[in-house]
Amino acid sequence: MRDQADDILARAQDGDKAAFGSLVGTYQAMVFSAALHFFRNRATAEEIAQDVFFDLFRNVKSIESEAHLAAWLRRNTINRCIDRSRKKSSQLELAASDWDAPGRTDFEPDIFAYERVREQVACLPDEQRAVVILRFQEDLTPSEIAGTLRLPVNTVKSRLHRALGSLRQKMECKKGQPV
Amino acid sequence: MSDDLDQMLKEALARVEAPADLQAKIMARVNRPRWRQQLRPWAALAASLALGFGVWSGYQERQAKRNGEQLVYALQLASEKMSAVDGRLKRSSGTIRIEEMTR
Repeated sequence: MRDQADDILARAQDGDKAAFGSLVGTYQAMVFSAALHFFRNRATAEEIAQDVFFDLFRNVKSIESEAHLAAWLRRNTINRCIDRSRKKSSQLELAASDWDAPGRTDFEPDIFAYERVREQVACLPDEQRAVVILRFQEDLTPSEIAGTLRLPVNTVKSRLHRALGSLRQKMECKKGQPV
Repeated sequence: MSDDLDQMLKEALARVEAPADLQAKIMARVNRPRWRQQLRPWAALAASLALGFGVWSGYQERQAKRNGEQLVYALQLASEKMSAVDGRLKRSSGTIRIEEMTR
């Protein structure tokens, strides 16, 4: 599987656009989801995803391996999200229809709870939001997040700790509210 | 609570499917001519329209200039013809006066 992935990468690096399209198909969900969870806005997430993959197209020859490619895409996506967030304040869109999770059958209570969680994540400071998305969407360890974002591992742990503390407190407050 | 929150975050932040046409949009941009690749589709369209408008304006200007030149030429021709007619009229009116004088 790894050899096949590296082969596709090699062909993309040789200018094979169909191979590049295959890379897009493989990684677009990852990139789009990260941007969507960051901004909670589908149009913005699409724009970010397009820019990320176009950047990959121009720089594909610098990618060393399939593992490097995944890290490159994550870093590029997160950095673009943070840059864009700094340029303008993002407006949160609360369209529940954007959040259909494929395969779920037990709906009502979970959708509202997940929606609250996503809202709270989107309210985190950019740097904390980034590490939370990489930790829980991509299931990366703090060391892997540190490697991806080129940050000290203690910085990542600190941001994660503050983010989770903040989320926990907000979720507790929500739970304690009178009906 | 920690485990509950972790699990909830994992499920709430799970990857979602990309829009069905995202890959096609990316490949369309990749396949565009180099000067249009940097632009988002709406910007590429605006640039193309502006370029087209510029070309059309230039054509209109050249055409107007040609029309103006043709009009000036036509007026010059008309003026020359009228001068020629005027000259003949003057010459013929002079002949008539001489004939009247000699009757």
